[in-house]
Amino acid sequence: MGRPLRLAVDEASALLVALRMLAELPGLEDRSAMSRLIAKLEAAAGEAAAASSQVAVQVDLRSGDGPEGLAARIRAAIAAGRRVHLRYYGPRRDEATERDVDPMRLLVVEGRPYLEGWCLRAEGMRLFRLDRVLALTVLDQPSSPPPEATERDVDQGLFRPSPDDLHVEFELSAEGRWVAEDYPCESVSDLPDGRLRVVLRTPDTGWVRRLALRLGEDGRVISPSSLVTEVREAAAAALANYVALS
Amino acid sequence: MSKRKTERLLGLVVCLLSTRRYLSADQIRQAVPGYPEQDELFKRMFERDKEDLRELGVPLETGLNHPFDEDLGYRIRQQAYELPELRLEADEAAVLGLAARVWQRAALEGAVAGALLKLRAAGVEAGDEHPVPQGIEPRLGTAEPAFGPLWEAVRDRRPVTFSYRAAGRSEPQQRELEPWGVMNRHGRWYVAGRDRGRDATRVFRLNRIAGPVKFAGPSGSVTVPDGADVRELVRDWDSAPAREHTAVLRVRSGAGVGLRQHAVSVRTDQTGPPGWDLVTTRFADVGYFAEYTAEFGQDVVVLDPPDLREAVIARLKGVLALCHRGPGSRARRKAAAAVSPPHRLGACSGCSRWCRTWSQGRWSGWPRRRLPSGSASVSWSTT
Repeated sequence: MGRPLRLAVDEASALLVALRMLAELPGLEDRSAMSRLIAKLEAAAGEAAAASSQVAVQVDLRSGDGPEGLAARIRAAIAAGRRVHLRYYGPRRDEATERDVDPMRLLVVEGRPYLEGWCLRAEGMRLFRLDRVLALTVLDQPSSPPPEATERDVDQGLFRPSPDDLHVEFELSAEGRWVAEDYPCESVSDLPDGRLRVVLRTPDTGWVRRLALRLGEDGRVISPSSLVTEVREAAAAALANYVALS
Repeated sequence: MSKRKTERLLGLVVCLLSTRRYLSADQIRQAVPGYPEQDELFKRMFERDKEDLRELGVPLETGLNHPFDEDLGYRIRQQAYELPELRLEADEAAVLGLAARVWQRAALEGAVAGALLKLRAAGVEAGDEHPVPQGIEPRLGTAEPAFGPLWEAVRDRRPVTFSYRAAGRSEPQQRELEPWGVMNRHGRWYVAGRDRGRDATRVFRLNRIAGPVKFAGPSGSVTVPDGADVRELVRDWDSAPAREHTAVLRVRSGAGVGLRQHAVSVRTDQTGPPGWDLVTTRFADVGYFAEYTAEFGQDVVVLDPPDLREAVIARLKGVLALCHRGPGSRARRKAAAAVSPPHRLGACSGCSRWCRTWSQGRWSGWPRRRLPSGSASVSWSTT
């Protein structure tokens, strides 16, 4: 190969972390190039490699490992140009849906694998988290995504706001602050005593109602008022079940 | 340190940073104000200054500009040193290019950009052809502001201090840490190491660090214990505890899909009104599972165990209590009075051990107390 390469410690360390993460991905056909490269970088980086080994990225592939695993089957479908059928669980609506999808690529974002493809049911591009795929069949039909099926730029994150979203305002106690960490918020502002005011955007109020029930006393919906009423009625209806029991 | 000495050291550092060639002691004496003319005095002062710089963690280099030079020269590299040459095969270079694309918006973006530039200069077309099978594209972000300083602290083995807001706490606390390593798990960054204040191993989530991370000592002053495995530490801290308890739930037919997925058994409920199933499932922790169950609202009723049922009822009453709070109509105040004071689930009173994550993957961070089995009512402390 051409000219030799001299890397700085930071450069080698950054690459080593990325390489070790890549090494965890399943079904890499040629692992020898990867192993040789890691060995060369570690030898060259010496002690600095030890520092880089203290920065690790874990890739969670519970549902995808092994040659027969989900990730491998999806990759095979992509390579063969075939459509797939999924049974997919959406936690926000707590429902399992059946979908035909033209698979386009497998992504690993933030340590989790996703299938991106054209969903015929939704008539649009969708991202499916592999650990929420309940069942997958590779179909006999060819995959033929329409021209408008383009891959998403995930460099900005996975959340995609739309102009039809509702703005929901929450007041969270100190114990409820995790909401701001787990969900992308339009705005987050501090209140006294460690409380937080957040505004979320969502196309689906059903999910927000469920979040409010989960929060209990750790947070409450402030607006819109229709949602406040919906939450109150949902809590009252649920409590009525327990009264009926006793 | 005297002001004069501080200024002299500063001058020395600036001078040595700005040079690419090694500077001899003589050249340094001429360039940096504050050094005496006499040889002996200068030599001793310069030796002490070099010691001080090393103690401060400044990477001072000595070397020769030419093999035939007689005098050793000095300089400071802004970046850490360069590594010996790497000679790569074509397939290794391709994998390297792929690795370079993994980082984005990163504190390490500069490091990776530098690497890519060097790859291209070495004649490697990084990234266009790669042996990774078609379709896999890994990405990794480090949008956390704390990541950059912690990466440096781990690399250089320096202790750090920062203000940290533990989950459920109203106020952040100052912490001092000997960091051993940084790990990304499910998109979240964690740092693990020895907490000096508590003299114990701790794991911190980077997005709970409030404010800047500051260095609290020179390079090399942190010792990472043999066998310290940051991945294990973070996994233990973040992983779901065993599901040791069994719950029996009445779930409306067609609803509660999430609950049914992990159920031990599901059958139609013959005892009550039609349209309901009896679902038996396992769970790890009453508090966490109660939150999850409450989410399903009127589609799920907890039949057993009693402490779980009470916890769900408490959660739902908490929602109503907040709805009724504040000034309002007489009807609303009356309704508020009819709801008994909500049981406030216990908050963490002090981090005596690192906190666990709920099995649904949400980090909550407060230890939940397990009640003795068979207890009919819940009493939670409000401390």
